[in-house]
Amino acid sequence: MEQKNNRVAAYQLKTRYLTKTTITIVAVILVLGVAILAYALGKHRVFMPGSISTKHRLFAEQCSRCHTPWKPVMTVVANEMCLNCHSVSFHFKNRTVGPAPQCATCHVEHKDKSILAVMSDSACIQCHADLKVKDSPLRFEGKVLSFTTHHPEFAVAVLLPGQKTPERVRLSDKERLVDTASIRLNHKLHLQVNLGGPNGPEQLSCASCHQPDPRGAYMRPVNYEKDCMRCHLLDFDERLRGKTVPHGQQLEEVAYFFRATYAEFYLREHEAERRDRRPAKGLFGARYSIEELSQDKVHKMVAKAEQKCALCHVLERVPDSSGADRSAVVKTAIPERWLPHSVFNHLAHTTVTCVGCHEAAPTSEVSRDVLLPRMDSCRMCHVEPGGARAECVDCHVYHDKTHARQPGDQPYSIEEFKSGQASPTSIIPPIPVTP
Amino acid sequence: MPADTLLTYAGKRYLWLGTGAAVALLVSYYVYARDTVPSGSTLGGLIYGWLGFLAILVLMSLGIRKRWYASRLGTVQGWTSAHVYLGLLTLLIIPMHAGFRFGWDIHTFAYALLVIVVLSGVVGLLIYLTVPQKLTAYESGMLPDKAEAEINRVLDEMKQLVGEKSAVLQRLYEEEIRHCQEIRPQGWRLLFKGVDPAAILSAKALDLSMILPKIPETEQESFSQFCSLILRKTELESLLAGEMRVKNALEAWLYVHVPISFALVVAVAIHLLVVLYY
Repeated sequence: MEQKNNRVAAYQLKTRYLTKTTITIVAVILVLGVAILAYALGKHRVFMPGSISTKHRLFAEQCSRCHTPWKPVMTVVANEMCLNCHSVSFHFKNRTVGPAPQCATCHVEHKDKSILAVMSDSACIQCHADLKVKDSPLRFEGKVLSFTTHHPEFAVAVLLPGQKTPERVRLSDKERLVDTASIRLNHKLHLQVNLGGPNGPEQLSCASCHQPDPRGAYMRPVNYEKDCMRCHLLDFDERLRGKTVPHGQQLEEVAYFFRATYAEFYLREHEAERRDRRPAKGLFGARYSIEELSQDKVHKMVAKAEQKCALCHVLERVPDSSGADRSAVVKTAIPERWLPHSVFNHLAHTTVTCVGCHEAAPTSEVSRDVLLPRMDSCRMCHVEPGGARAECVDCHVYHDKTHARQPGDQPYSIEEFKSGQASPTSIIPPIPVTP
Repeated sequence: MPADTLLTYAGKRYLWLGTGAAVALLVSYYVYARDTVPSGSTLGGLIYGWLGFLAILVLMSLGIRKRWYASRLGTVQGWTSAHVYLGLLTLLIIPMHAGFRFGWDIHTFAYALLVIVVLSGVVGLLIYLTVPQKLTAYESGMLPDKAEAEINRVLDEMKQLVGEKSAVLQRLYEEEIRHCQEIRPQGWRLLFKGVDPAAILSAKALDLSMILPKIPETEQESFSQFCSLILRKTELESLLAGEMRVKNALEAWLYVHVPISFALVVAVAIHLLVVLYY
């Protein structure tokens, strides 16, 4: 019988062109083709395993700005690639036991992180959980896990008399913790009710003397002219109301000032005689006599002035040019920044009162007191999890930015920067920070 | 005791192995992600990547084992059972390798292809579990080749019947023959449209009844014989179509599963090239 039928062949799925093999070939060619097309068109972003940070997006299509081909598995991008653009210094001298972390050990791209500089605690505690140094004994706390737990009390540098280098003293060390600034100030007295002011009794507050710096982060140093002079005038003669000794001079210069002042007023009073070239009038009737300018008188005035200086300042005896001992005002050396290796921003904390953190200030009577808040007062709000942010980078600074590139040292033109075709003509090499 | 299915082969051996492996993977990931930022470039990420790569190789080799009749390396049924559970595991391994981060890139695209492959496999698995019983209903009647031979025999009978008869009958016969020879490939259409034998038969009977008035008196009896032959043929055809449709269902999902799995292999190769180059 003739084969008039081909029904099975017609009803099956496989046709001449539509087979599993042909579809496979088409699919494979499609995938390969799209990949090659993307590469050829320069759309290298599709080959990234994870997006990069916002600030690097300008170079997203230029993989070779950071990557060198065929680098070994489980290594990170070399520091040189970062330093082509970035000018930073590292964290410590090479005194640690293990190798120093590379840039990319902590700042890892392609992890969908939009700001690369944000660092979690785990990057810091990979060393600081168990800090080891090679040569000298460990000067810092060896085990820091987080601010909330396992963080040492804050420490400040104290230069005790007779010592050459300052020592680190923890705020909890009540015996050794001392403010060695050569100034006398009684906070309790200044903050009392009905304090005698220039226009009658008044009540001072912290802000009467302590003002923030232009950025608002720290307090600018207390300045005599701005903060003290309103009440503590250095006037010296009732006849000369409003005339004050300029602040900040040593007593020798104060002596010159007195002589010059009285000389001027004497000359003014005897102007007529001077003009007419007549001898000066006698002592009677004159307000300013020549005696004012005598050495003896000036000495007496300086001694009186010294008492006023001593109200706030510490004085010492030093030999002067002639060999005799004179009083001199010791440089105050009031610290501007107590904790220079961390950052703090008063502006972020303006919702709380000064004494909320600086609890010891209203009861402090001597300048020896260090009135910094202790760690526990920060921990009232800054706890992880659940409280205000308390990560390492919120207070601590890893890179020493003072050695960063300064204006005038930029190495690239815009075209060079965008294309990456030139290597930098001048880079400031990373300078390790002395801890 | 009911026979083992794909899922329960050898006392659900691969189900237990698969579940155990999944639990072990999840525990390992918990430990890994607690201490490190998980990603493909960490040690843990690399290990997961290797596991996934090996899994894909083993999964692809089912196609080889299936065709290697002489092999004594396990049974094809065992291999297929393992294939199912291992395939489901890869859906877990690969995101662990990536640290559960995805983006618009070729790496996530490779994973998307894997998802398509596994999902088509799941569809295939469901088909394998539900459709074969429908096939036995047909095959208890007639296998497709036999059905085709039977149709040809009916056609021959028809030819003999209309041999010297009038032009009308001859034309009818010619039409039937032409119908058979000009049949177009309709496997896919059959799959999605479905076959309704009763409706086809009654439609054909209606058509034939319309022609009845045109038949001359003398040939009425031949015509009725012819009609019963035609209806028999139509019945055979629709049974055959129904049977083929079931067989097609058992195969159709492979038209996605197999090509996309090869595309996946290519995508994985590109992924490896990219991450190792840079």
